Amino acid sequence: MEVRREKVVVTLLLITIMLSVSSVVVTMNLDTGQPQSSSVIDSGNLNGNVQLVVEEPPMNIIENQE
Amino acid sequence: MKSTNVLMVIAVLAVGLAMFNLIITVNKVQDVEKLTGFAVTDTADVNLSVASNLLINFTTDSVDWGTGYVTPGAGNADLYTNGTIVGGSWSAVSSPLVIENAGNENANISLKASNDAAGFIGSASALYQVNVTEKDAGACSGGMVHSNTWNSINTTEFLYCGNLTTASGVDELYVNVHIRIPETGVPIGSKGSIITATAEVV
Repeated sequence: MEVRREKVVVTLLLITIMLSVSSVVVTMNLDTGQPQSSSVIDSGNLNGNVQLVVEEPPMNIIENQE
Repeated sequence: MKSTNVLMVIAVLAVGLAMFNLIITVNKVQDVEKLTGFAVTDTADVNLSVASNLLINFTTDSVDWGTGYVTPGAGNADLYTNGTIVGGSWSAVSSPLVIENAGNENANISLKASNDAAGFIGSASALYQVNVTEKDAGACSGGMVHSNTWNSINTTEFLYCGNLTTASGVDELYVNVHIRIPETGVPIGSKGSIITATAEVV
């Protein structure tokens, strides 16, 4: 019974160590550097569209012209 | 006895790691205080830099005269973005293209088109012109080239506005468009062209 309890404690301690190691890794990777402003170059909407459709004049207009 | 020793070693390791973690965390938190301007005295300095932002927009980006024909006997049809249609049946367009400097850098503005008059309309007698003006006086603080005159536009880039400012209300250009469509020799169908603005930081 006592041996079993010790195994449980060892397991819990191992888990504690793993969590502690993970925590150290995360903390060391914490970026505390000054926020860097990126240089933004945004071209935006640079295009304007020009469009139309050319059709034949109606026949009655052509006939009136003639 | 043996398992107790193992337990002890592991426990010591756990405590050691926890202390190491605590030290690292405290150091990092101190760094955060310094870099964010946390006030440890009665005055504090926070430094920042504003990034260069070159942003040019066509806020009015479409001119569409719809469908129409050249009036028989007129010779040509002339379409303008000031609402004028001469010799044709197309719908009037009263709004020119508008270019705005929405960034924080003054910029020279050049224009070019995806095709020239012949490529756009399909006739060597056609005209495809733009007339660039300041929407508000002083927008081009570096001066304008060919201001308020009709100039043919084609695939070659041409500088129109020097130093378009970013000041609110003085940062826009009008680009009026004129197209001349000959009565004869123009293929029936849809015609399209794209005017491209290029901005260069002064």
